Amino acid sequence: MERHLLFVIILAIIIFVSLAGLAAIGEGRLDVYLSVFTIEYLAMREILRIRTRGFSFAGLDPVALGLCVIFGFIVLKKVIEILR
Amino acid sequence: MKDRFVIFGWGLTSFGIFFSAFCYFIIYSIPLTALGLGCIIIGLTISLIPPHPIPNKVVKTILIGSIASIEAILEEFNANQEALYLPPQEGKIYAYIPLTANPKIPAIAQIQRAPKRVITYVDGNPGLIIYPPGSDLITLSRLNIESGGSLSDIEGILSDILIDFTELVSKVNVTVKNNEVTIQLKEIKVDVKAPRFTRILGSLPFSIAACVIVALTRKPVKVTDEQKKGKTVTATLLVIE
Repeated sequence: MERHLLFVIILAIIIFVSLAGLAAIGEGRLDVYLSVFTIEYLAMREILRIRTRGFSFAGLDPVALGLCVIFGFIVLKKVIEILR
Repeated sequence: MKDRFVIFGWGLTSFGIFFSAFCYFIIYSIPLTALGLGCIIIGLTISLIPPHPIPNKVVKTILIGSIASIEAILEEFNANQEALYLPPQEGKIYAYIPLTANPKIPAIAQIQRAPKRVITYVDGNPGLIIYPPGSDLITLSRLNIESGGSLSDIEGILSDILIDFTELVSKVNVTVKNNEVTIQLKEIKVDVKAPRFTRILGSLPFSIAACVIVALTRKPVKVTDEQKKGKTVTATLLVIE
């Protein structure tokens, strides 16, 4: 099977399984869902060595970059919360 | 016409945006908002996947046809020396094949200055200028290969081109050591009867790999030491500084 198609299928399965799992245990924080999605996306991307179109920064494609920025904000928010 | 995957990807992204906004602001459901975000991630991923506008079989047929032409030229000129893949000057990667066995390799700058004709003269010695099939394949694959980039991602790029785009091999392993790139290919799926092409430019997948490395590093590359062991073929590509 074509690697990119395999990546999309596996990513979709993993995202929806983790979503269902987190929803089932009653997780109500959006940042938890986003963090899990980010880790899953980056891990799958590295495992299947996926390259996409468009610009890339530090080896990250636009989706990975966007997710990393959001993940960074979530972490920063948590750090500020702890420090307060 | 745009690739249908791209349209589907943007459709899924748009749906995800509206769905997550609706669920977050109207329904106040976090799991459903996360579902929308998941749709956005998958939609964007689909839309960013490099399209394959040309079927793999067509690409393979074009490559084999191109090799047959080059083989005929090499036979005609009785070329025997190993080719040197050179970075593009007029948009295309090309290979220089010396026609005389000269122990002194001409300077790269001299080769690059030589007129781009089938037969050219470098330092008074005749040589052939060939445009290998891999030079156009890089453009055709629409991969975002950044010139002057590092060789760290070479395995990913070669996998994209040799496994997905052309379906020439089933597995690619790359080891980079200084200026030597050792490529191991498993199960080569194309059998091209072009002994002179293979001897001079390397077999088709390695010739393509050499073009990719030239495109990436903008440095001359030579295919050396190609060996076959069962279903695995290994070659070392030398990046000349």
